[in-house]
Amino acid sequence: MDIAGPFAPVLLETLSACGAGAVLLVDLFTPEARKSRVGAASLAVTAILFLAAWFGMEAGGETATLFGGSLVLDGMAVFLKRTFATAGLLAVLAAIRYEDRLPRGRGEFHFLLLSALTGMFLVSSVGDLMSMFVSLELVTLSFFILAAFRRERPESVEAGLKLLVLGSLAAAFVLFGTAFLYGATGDLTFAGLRDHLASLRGAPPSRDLLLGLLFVLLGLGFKIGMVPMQVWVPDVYQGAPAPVTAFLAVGSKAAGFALVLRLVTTVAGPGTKDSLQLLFTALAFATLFYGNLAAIPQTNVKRLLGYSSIGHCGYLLMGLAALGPASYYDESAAASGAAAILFYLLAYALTTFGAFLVVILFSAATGSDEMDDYAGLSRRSPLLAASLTVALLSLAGVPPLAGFFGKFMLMRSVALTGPAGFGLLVAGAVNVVIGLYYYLCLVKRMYVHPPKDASPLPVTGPTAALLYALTAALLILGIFPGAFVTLASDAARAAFGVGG
Amino acid sequence: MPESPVPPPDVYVPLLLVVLIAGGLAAVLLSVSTVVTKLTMRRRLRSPTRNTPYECGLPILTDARTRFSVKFYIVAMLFILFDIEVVFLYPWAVIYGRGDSARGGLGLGFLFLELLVFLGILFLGWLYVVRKGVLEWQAE
Amino acid sequence: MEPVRFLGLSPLSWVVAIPALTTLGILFTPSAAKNAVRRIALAGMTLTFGIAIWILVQAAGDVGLDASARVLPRLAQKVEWVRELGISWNVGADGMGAAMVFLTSIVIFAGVLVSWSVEDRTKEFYLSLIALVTGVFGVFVSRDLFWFYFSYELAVIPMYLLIGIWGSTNKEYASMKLTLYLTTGAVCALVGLLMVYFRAWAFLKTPYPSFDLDYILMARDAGAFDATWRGMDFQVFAFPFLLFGFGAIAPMWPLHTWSPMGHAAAPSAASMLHAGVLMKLGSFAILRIAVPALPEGAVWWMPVVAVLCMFNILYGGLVAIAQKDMKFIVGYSSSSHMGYVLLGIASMTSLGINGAIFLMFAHGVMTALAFALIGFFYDQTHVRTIPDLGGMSHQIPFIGTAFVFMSMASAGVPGFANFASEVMVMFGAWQGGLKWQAVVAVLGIVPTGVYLLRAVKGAFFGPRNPRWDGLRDAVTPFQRLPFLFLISVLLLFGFWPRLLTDVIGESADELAGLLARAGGG
Repeated sequence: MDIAGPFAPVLLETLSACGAGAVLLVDLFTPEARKSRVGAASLAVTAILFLAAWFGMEAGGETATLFGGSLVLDGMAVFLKRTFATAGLLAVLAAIRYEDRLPRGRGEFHFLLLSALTGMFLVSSVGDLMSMFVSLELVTLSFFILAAFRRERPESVEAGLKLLVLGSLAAAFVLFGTAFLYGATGDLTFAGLRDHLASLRGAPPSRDLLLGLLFVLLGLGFKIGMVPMQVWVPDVYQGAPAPVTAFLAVGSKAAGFALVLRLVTTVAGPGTKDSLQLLFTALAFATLFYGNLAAIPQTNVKRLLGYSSIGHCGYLLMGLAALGPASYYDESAAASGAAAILFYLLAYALTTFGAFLVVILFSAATGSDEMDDYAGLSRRSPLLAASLTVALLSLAGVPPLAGFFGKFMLMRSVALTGPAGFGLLVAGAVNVVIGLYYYLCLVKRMYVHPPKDASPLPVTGPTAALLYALTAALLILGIFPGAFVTLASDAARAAFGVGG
Repeated sequence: MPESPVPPPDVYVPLLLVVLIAGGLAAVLLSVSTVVTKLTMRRRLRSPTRNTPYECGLPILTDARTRFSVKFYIVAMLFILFDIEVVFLYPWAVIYGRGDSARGGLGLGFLFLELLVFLGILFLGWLYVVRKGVLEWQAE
Repeated sequence: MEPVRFLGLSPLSWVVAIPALTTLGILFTPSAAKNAVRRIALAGMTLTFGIAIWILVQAAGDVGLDASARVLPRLAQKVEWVRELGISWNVGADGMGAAMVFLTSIVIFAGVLVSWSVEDRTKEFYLSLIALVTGVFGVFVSRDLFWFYFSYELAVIPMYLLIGIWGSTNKEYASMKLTLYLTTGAVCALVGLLMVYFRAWAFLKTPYPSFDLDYILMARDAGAFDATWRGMDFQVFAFPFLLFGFGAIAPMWPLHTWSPMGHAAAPSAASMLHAGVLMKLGSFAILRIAVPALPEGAVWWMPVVAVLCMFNILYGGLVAIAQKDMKFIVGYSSSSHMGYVLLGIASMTSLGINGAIFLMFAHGVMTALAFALIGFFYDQTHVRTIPDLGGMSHQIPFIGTAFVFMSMASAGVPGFANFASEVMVMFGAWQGGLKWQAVVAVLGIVPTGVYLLRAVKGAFFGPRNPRWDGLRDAVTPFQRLPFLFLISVLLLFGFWPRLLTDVIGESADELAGLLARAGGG
């Protein structure tokens, strides 16, 4: 169902921007004693966005553009918007469980979450380099403040500052690259970039263009936590408030990948494909091993998830490395890589929130994020332990969970592409085992080790329902992925211009 | 001939002239003043009175580097914010005045609506400032 | 040929669906209602056992019939699952599959019964146990490479929890080692599976690829796997990924070290499933997927397997002699017996393969019995090293007797299914030209006798030990049921092996014929 007509490309953006304003108004006119209304308003907004994204937008419709091509709505954008809407809803649900620990500024917290979400919606359908930069910065600026939101804790301030300084550096990379791309093509739109490359008829593009592309990709690599732009990830993940970390892990990564995908689908062609494949293969290698190996010695859960998110970035990069050399399944390899990325982002969003929700609830009850304090959790709260275990196993890629199918799709797509892809496939397989090891170390603490403090951790009804729902979602996505795979594949095929 | 994305260099000549005139004027005035001072006042070039910022008006009571209420800064920042946002009204007004509906083809009504949206956001910001009590000077 | 369906699903689908539904049922039972959890598990597994018997009876009835009159093909069911990737829910059974489903249902039925005494986190225990067995059933009935791999991985993680939480002796190390070994094997096999899958697609050039095993076999017949791949024969290159990937769980020497340790650390029911069924997944996968898809690769690599399995037999047996812990003895003995299974496969003869599958069945039942018995007294003694035990047949005569039966079966005494199957393997090996291996295999029986007799004597005979006076024997029929059940299965198929060998025979003939053609051409 399409409820917005020609304004479909800005439907969610408008709704969430208005929603953010409404939340701020509610906050302004609510007395201090009733501040829980703010969370309720924010939840209502994201619930509407969720419904509008999943049921109010047409996935397989024609590509629509608005504002002279600045905004594009195609299958990929719709899929990503659905992922973001889901992540936004979960972020607000998590934030509501966290906000009692905020000393001030509930309204601002929710407002910033929603403004980041608005930025993510915009990111998923940008059509030119300028709106790409602006919408990306809307996301990043919101996160600067959110990460430092608990300014009474030094770690939180550190997180915000690191994000600010390194994020600005990354923004500079993006802008610098944009300037080069503009200089090389004389056009800021993706369509113009595509036309320019098509006009080369397979000849390699100019050095300026490749340099610009490299800079933009490196700048975006910051958002997705790609080696060598990953240094900020563990500190920020550890220091930022947990709902922010979860939203950052999901939203910032998905936003970065949305843009990388946009860019790659635009520029991938006969003249650029080999260098892109080489680049992404090398980056995926480095990112996979860095993230997963560095995760092994961690002792803090949020830091562990930070390093593991770098590892997951490596898996996602495998999907980009699937831009194969010419062969029978050439085009569909690239498309299947993109489809795998889209599916994986959705699965990753659900899984990450499943894990972070337990981290939030646990630290709310005990004030700790240390892995050793999780000892014996299965006796203190079977539900929390089971939910976290399911989420971790989904991250590790164990059937029958969503993460398994995502990894399966990524590894499948990369297996299509010759010797480099084969090497990457083996690397991915090795990293599945490494990942399983450190996730199981946490599972072991929860189930095998005796608790230090045996007091039970009660879980209230709505929270329990949320945990059950997330677990069920992981199972459904893992066992019945068909419909989602179809959506992702159609979107990716359309983006790469592959018929049928 | 398609329009080149980079304008020809001669467009910038007036700008260059402005820079040159401004710099030149400053240089001329400063050097004239120095020369004149050197020539006319041979002795007692430095004295406490002469070193004061203003050689007229009330005597200075305290050092200028004291602590001010943070409210001053906040008001100053808010002024800059709103000031800059209002700047955006000028290009809007130019386009609206031209009746230019070619880009995007959405018409003058849409342009007016956009302005209202923009002003709405500004109004929300103003409301936020007021409700948060930033402009209240009486409160502690 | 009308498909057999019950409520829309084939009985083979139900074999997976019932454990899955049982898992769900347990999930929504409150943790405090321990008896309800146990009863749900028992009900589900009894039902599955019934279906498994029905399938086996149909398979036995099919022997010698025309293709059109058979029942088993009518049980096949295929439902499209993910079209873009060519995944379909695709189940089917032949004699080999029917025998393995039967074995699994026997072991899990007995396993649920012997775990009745688990009191710590009962709900989680049964949840893991039944989830594991869901995966095992999935492997045995699946004819789609994706679901095969899915089920295979599904079976690994619950084992980690079972050993890690309810295990004993060095359980943290053992469970982690087991999980990492098996996962490494699985992902290695996945690489091989994907190679085969894409190769088939590139050759057949259908609009969508397919994980369907029949599609892969069709591609094989069309010659998709014959070409060289970057200077290497594709089959020879791809086969070891599957062989060693699946071989890790078989467990093929030198990838076996996780296995005795895992057996020793696991709780009884988990050991039973682990040694009885999980280890069979490896050999089964080699026979179900690796050999049919890549027969020429198999012919190239089987001599290597024939050498490695010698290490299994001798090394496993000799190490078992040196053990003091009863579970380690049975663990290393399993690794030794699996050597016979691999030898049967490596013989590439119908007799050998038939014997190998039959031995998988017999060993599964026997070793389940062994771990059930050890678990029974270990729950009370909390000790299972031979020097500490002794004379227990005075206090627990029923368990002692059952243990003697088990040892006789394991040592290959005629009258038990193990004897029949081991003899088939040895004859098969001789027939297949593995003469000196056959001789070594016969000699390998000697250490088996040594360690089993030592265990029986050390634990159950000798003077009465007052330390064990408080032990309670299995007295009620309900307590005795699992042991009697397993012993009678062993005796039934020991005296009447044709019940099973005829069923398995056609699968074995087919595989041997395939290998012979591949070797000849």
